[in-house]
Amino acid sequence: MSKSESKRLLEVKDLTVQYLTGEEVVEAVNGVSFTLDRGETLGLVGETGAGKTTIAKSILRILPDPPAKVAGGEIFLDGEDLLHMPESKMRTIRGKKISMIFQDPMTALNPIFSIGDQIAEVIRLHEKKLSKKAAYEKAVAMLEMVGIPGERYSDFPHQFSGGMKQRVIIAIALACNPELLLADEPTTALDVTIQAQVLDMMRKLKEELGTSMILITHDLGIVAEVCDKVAVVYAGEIVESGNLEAIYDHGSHPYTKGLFGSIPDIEGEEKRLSPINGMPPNPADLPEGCNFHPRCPYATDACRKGKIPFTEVAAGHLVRCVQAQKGEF
Amino acid sequence: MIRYIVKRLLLMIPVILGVTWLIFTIMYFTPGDPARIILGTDASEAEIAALQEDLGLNDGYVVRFVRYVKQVFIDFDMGESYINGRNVGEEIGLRFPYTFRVAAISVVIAVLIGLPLGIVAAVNQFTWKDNAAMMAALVGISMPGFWVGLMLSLAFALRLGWLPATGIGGPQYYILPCLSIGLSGCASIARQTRSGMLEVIRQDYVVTARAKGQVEWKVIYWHALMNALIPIITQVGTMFGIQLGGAMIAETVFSIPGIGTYMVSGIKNRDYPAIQGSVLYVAVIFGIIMLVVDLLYAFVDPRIRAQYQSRKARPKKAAAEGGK
Repeated sequence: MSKSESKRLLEVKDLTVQYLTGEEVVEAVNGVSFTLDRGETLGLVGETGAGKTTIAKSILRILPDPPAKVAGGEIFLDGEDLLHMPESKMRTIRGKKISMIFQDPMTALNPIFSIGDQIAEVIRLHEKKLSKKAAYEKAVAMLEMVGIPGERYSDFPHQFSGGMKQRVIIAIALACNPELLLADEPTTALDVTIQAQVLDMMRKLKEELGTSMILITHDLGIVAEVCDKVAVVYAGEIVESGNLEAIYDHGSHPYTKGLFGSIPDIEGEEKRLSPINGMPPNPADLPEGCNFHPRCPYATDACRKGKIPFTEVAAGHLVRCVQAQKGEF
Repeated sequence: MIRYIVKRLLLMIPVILGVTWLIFTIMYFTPGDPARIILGTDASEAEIAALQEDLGLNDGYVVRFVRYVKQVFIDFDMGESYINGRNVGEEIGLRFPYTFRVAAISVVIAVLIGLPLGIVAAVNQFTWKDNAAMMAALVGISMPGFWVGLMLSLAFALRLGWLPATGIGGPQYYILPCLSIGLSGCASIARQTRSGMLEVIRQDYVVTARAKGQVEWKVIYWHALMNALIPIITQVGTMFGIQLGGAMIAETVFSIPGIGTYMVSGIKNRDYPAIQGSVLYVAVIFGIIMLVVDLLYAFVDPRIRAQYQSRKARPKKAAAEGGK
């Protein structure tokens, strides 16, 4: 296991995903690159429709094909090429090495199977030596770990509340001690008190099990609580990435600044928030040059043509902006 | 669950009484004199009048209806055929095995062909496989069953001489009638399966199953299909019920001595007891089949199972939410 002892767990290089619908090509993810070390948590932040979920699903290779197509790029887990491995091998990774927590707990569980069986399913898939009884016992243990009494093993999803369903989904995701957890807006569908509980639990479990995590969210508060690194996604592109302090204290991209400008400040005295004007671009018809320039208050002619490269404004802090290139931030 | 079944069986009583009343009334107002039919054209008026009196045909509507209901539901006697004097209940009992075998085999054929066809079409939506499967279903749905039966019997019985064309005997006699009913039935099952599968196949829980590392065929046949099953069960149950009620056309084409041919000949000969008896039989069979279908729902879907559970067994709040 010398390979898996290396620090780097996941490397995504230049990932490009398109949705091919009848006439147009929707450019959902455009050249996204990032890396993730063991035990680290990366926050993918951005508006709805920015391509965050598509990034996560393409790591697991569960995008609906057609219409989705990975048009380019590479994804390495422990140095193994995920995008080019045969489906049968990929299946041994799904649910075992990488697992995913889905956005909507109300629909992510199969309504006609008991929740316990749904947890035991993933255990039995990846631990074939385990007897039926041992898998049952492990599923019960997982239920109790997420705070659901084991006697509820045979209950069905309709007998649970949204927060409890999300716990079941987390139990499924963690059942095989994954090395990488993709959490796709795990708390969006929950109310605030349950949100706090679920986040707390995820953080605790992550610490206990040493799992790396990619947390997808549009809630900057959650990112600040849980993540080590942040990547800001806009129109299928990472526009700024760095560690938590770099983004929160020295956010440089106009979009990042805009995101923070639209959060109310408890101590400040502003009467109005400053929203980002305009709408995200249509991914089937992205603007020339910087994707953000039509909404950017600092846009110049240089922003309207060509692809804007990353500039490293501080160690590990990358910004995709012309202004940063000039060193103005 | 037992309470639910008993409740449903009790509910069948008014339904069957209603059917009895309807069919009796229709028969009552249908022109034509049974006495004349029984005695033939060369009977004298006196003979006819005597028989009319004997059969009770001169009594009023209400008297005759009450007499019929008492005869059927209290004495369990469906009466004797006007034509050959044989007991209608016994006759139906004798014919039932043939109809049942034809119905069961054709439904199995329809499911075995229709279900995979629909699944393949849904999984490969908008590809040539989908188009081919739906084209086949369209052809199947457009061809009337009796025509398929005639063509099959033309090809395999007359031209090739492999199979008997009519009658009933060994297993080979069942092949052509069951095939012709099954082939025309599989089309609607295929279409139902496809639309049901398309609905569930993009559901989040199917993606969850894939994300667990489950193999694709199990994702489709276990996670997705089990959720798409309810409309398919309804369709299959209805088809089975209709066939049990007698595949009139197929039975006539292949001369099978089943319920269908009995009903057809009863109608042709104005054999009122035979018609009333077989319609009653169809009503009872359908009631039972639909009950079985509803119980299968509960078997497949725990949400429906929860509704069927007796109210006493559940806390009050759950009962209020459960509906039924």
